[in-house]
Amino acid sequence: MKWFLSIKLFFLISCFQLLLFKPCFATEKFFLTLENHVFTPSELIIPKNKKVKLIVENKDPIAEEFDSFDLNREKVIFPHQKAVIFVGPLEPGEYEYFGEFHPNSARGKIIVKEVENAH
Amino acid sequence: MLINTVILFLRDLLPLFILLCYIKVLFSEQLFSWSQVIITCVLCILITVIFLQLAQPIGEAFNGAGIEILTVSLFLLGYSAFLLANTHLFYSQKLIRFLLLIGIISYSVVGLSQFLIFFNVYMHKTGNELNVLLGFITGLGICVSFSVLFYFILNELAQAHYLKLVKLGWYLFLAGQVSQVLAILSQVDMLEMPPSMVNFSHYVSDSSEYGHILNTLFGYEASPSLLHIQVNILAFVLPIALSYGVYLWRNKAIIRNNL
Repeated sequence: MKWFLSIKLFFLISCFQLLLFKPCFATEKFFLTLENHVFTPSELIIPKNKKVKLIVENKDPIAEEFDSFDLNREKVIFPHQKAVIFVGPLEPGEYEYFGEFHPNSARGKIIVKEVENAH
Repeated sequence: MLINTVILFLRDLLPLFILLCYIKVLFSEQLFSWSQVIITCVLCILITVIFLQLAQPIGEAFNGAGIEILTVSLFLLGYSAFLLANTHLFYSQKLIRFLLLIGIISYSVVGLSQFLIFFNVYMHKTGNELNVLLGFITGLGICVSFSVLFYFILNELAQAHYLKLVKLGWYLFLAGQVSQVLAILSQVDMLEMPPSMVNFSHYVSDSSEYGHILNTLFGYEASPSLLHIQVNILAFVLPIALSYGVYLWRNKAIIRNNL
């Protein structure tokens, strides 16, 4: 039954890892606004290797889904509501996002850089 | 618009079609009567509509993480129900059928609700009706034709004594579905994901049609983290280990009864 023991050990390690990765630091906030199916700002600069809190406000009268394959995020933002999405820590680079329901107009990217004051 | 509708079909509804294909092949002895099928469909639609009606207040609950918590709960409930139904721990066909129904409803509510939100948005817009209708027909056509072909392959494999291969595919599918909870939890800061280990984006990106289909079939991620791989493996191995454990336990019980 060695293999069964290995599975148990694997399970315990995975659970321990989940506990280890529990968040414990305060995160910096960044804001995005969706109006007329356009994200503002279309380019958002955030610091590298840091988790950030992205607050997306939908000013439109219909729902939108914030979607990003690069960031592995998708969240529905209801009309005239705000949604919070945690992003990162990320390596430097460009990460595209879009509004799933209006992908032609609602587009933007998050630029991850080594910066002092990201905005 | 047309491509977008097709992609949403692949993302939200194709997993349901594939789920039903696997259930039809693997649980063929648990025959569902037409009344049960209708009741399940009505329940799925009813729960989805209730979910959509309450989506906004649910979304605001738990510091804005309400939808994510509910989605994760449904994924875990579905996975647990299929896990128990799969182990043959229970002799009662009724109980197995009930577990399958719970699993189907859980996964359907997640997929259908996301799809119906998209449809609700397009109901409010004018001028896109034709594109949405064309996208709907194309998306439905792709899902139906894919699932017919997929069911045919699964059925042929099962008939040709390759049932174990079908079961492996089923476990991979379940693992892929349940491992989605990691991204959902990390999105609302309930779990911190480590950086990705490898990047297969150059071969098959997550956003491509192949990426969507592979993601549905076995939870493909172009850049998975170590934790994602671990959870995927764990969710894949768990039903196998549990089935084998039940098999050993039953054998022991039979030997003890014979003595």
